[in-house]
Amino acid sequence: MIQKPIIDITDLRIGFDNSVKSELFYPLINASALKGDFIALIGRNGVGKSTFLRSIARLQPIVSGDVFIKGQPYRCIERSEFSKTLSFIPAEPIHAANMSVSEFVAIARYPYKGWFGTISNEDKDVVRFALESVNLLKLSKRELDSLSDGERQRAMIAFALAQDSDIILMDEPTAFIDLPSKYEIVKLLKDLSLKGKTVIFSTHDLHTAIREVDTIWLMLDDGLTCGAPEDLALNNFLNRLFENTEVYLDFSTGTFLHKAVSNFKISLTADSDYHYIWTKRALERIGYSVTSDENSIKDQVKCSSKDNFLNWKVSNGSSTVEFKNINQLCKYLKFHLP
Amino acid sequence: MTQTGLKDLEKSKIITLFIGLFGLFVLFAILDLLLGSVKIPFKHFVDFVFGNEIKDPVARQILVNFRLPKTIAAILAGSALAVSGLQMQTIFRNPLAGPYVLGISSGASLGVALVVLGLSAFSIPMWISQLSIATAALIGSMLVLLLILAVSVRIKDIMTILIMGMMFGSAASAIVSILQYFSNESVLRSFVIWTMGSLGSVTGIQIWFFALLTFLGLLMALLLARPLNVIFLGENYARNLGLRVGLVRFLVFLSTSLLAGATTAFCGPIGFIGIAVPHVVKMIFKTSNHAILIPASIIAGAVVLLICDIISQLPGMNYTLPINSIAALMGIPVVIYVVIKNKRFSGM
Repeated sequence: MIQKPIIDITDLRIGFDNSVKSELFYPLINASALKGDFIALIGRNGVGKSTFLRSIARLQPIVSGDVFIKGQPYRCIERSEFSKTLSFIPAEPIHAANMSVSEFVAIARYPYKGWFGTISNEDKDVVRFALESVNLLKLSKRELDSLSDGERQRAMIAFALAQDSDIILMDEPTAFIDLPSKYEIVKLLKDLSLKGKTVIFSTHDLHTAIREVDTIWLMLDDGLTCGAPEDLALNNFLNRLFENTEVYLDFSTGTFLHKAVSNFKISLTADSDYHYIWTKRALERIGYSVTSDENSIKDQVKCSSKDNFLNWKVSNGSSTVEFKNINQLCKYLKFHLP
Repeated sequence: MTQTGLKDLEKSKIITLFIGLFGLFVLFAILDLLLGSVKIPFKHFVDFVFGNEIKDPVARQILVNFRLPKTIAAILAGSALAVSGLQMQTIFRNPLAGPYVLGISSGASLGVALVVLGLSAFSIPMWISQLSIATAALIGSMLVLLLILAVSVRIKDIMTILIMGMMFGSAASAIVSILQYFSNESVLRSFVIWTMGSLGSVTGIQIWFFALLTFLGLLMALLLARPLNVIFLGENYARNLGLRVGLVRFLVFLSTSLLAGATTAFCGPIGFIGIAVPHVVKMIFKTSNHAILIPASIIAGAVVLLICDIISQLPGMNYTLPINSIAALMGIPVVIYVVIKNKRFSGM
């Protein structure tokens, strides 16, 4: 059975109407998302990710085209109805003095209450559930301004949950937080999508996006491309993201690597695979290109372990120097290039 | 279970704070009526409250015709300034905003300057009554309000509106300076005295008019409590929740102009109360819920201006100090404390 898209973007032109030249506009955007889709919006700085998300969230006027939400042109949807369908969490971490986490999340119930309404028991349950889902129930009485950036981001997600919308848009939710929190946030968003929410978030964290999301909306300079991360990788779209840059997608590992300029070849041998891998990384970092072929190259590094102690030997055919750790090895090689 | 227990605890704490604040209000209102160059015995006040005839005719005259209107003016002005300051701090998301950021006091000054200084420049006789000054101030502040409202309908960026308000204010002040430059000493003196503020010049029918405008403004503020809570999170959140940001801003500006405009018209520009009182209230109640902050600011604003008035009439002496100076000296330490405490300003 073919599911009807919950968001259907047709020939959308984003940007400011008074832009001087029409060629400065981003190409027309066509995309759609289903209920429960988990989508990462990816693009270089300045390509218009925020503008795009804000345009879908009706926070910014569009130039032309249309967005259909549950089949309805989104500009025809009544305000409070729209807020019950779609929530948008901005990139800026929320700061509000003298406000507890639960007070903050409770404000998200505004579309259900209107101007004069007070918080009902049902609202309290929704707020509680939202805080529980992001694992913030213990901190619900804490002041918002006393939270760490990761906790704050979770509070912002709880806000979107309390708003109880089918679609959640987030502008760079992982921008200000450390690596474990990043995974936690992305996993949380993924869980939400499994529960039926459509989650679209913009990010610069490609590694996480490629591993976790269903679909990537890739904003290249010549238009938006949608697809599974793996499809986009195989079709070479992901590499096009970094055209004319120092970064490329390594097809064998699925990681993004720096195009190292290596003028110097060096051979490396090691007793164990791990020692080989990490020594290789270190040598590449300081500008060597590493081979395991020790016959043809004069400059050699040998890593060996003796009585549980590692040591690295560098030889250039005539002399040999020994090191006890990679740090010393690199410091030597960096300034004693052959 | 602990959840609801905590909630009840908070509720009872807030009720206690409100009772305490109201107690202070009653205390200082009575002190304000009794203290001054002539001390009025407490039993006269009791007689007055219970509708009995006050034996001493002089005391009766002072209490009913001078002290009572002045105390009412202090209550109205204090509440009005505190609430309009709170509204501006929330709308502009800036702890240093106050009732006058939109240029309302400068507009009022221009109106008064035109009447007091302008008319004398054309050698029109000095028939200036207190009422015509109030009317001129009201018209001046309303004109600035109209400009701000017109700007706020067309311009969406809140910072642009803030800068516009400051520019209108500066332009009005510039015209006032020109008028001051060309006026003679005696007229200049009466204008300067107006700028120092006075709670004692509101009499008779004026107090009713002042009360009406203030009640309207405060009522609007109370009705705007919930939208203000939403807008407090910033425009992105407010619009995401379907709030009509433009409409709410328009109504808040209207309420603030009524409050600050009426106060400036009848009492002159009284600074710093409007910036300081909302911070004191936030420190005491530790909340950002405007359904609590607005009523609390109404009472706290009245208390603070009553205290200022008691100090300014120097109990037992024959002088009174300008209320504006006392208010500034009371408010400035609070503002300095807020600036130092706020990481954004102190750079800590």
